[in-house]
Amino acid sequence: MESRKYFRAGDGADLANDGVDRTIDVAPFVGTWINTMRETKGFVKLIVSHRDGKLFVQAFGASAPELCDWGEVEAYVFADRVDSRKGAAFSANYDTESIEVALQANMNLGLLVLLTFNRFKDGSGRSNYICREFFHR
Amino acid sequence: MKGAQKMTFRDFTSVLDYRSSKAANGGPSHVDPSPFAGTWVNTNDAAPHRIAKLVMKIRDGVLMVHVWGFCDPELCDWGEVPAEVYADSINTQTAMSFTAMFDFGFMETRLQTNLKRGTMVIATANKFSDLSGRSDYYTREFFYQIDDDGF
Repeated sequence: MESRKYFRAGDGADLANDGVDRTIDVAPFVGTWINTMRETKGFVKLIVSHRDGKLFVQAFGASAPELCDWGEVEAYVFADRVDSRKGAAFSANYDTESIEVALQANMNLGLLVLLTFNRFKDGSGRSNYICREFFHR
Repeated sequence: MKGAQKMTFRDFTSVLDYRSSKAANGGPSHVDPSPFAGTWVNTNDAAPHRIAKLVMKIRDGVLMVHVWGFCDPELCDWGEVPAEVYADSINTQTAMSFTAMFDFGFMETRLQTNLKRGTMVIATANKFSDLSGRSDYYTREFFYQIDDDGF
């Protein structure tokens, strides 16, 4: 039975056809988020929006005189448990000519905690690196 | 991707990335994965969704990650996959993080980790594809390193 397949005991719940709407609630993420570190050299601002049943993220990097607009990408949302619809985290990816940036965000005490995994593709010798930042509304 | 095209730093997460690109030597990124090598166990042995244990080895310079999920009566063996390692900045070469993907057919689990004061923090993003009604979900767990024969 498909629903019984699992690789962790807690995933074994059989929830198929139980009539419960398990659309994950994305409301906790929607809005404009500002980096708690005013002088950040990374992402300064995130705009998270919800339309047509999908979640979108638009990131703005530090630069002058204007912020660097990374554009909007679709995000993928995750609940906090296999039997829950409470939005707990989302992921998104930016892929440019020189760098791939994987975003992983989760909520903690009203803050959005953003972990970015930065992978260079340009042969520049720069180390792939992670960055952890905190955002408030 | 839409948005302004005029920015100098479009292909860089930050100003720092851009400046460092001018100073870096050429060639592929090389980050030393050795801080992760060994056996790691979960700090919380009560969580039903937990990853119980990881054994990590370096093979031909690549970090290989072997995971066991908690199942009863025996742990569930996820198998071994290669990982991608990350430093904590552009200019350092010691791994502070790795990502790895497990594809079980009916679900995908992506591991995203970082080291913090000797503890390894693992976030998992779990996507189901089997129409079982289970929600895609996210976990965050903590691990400590033990001697290889200590589990």
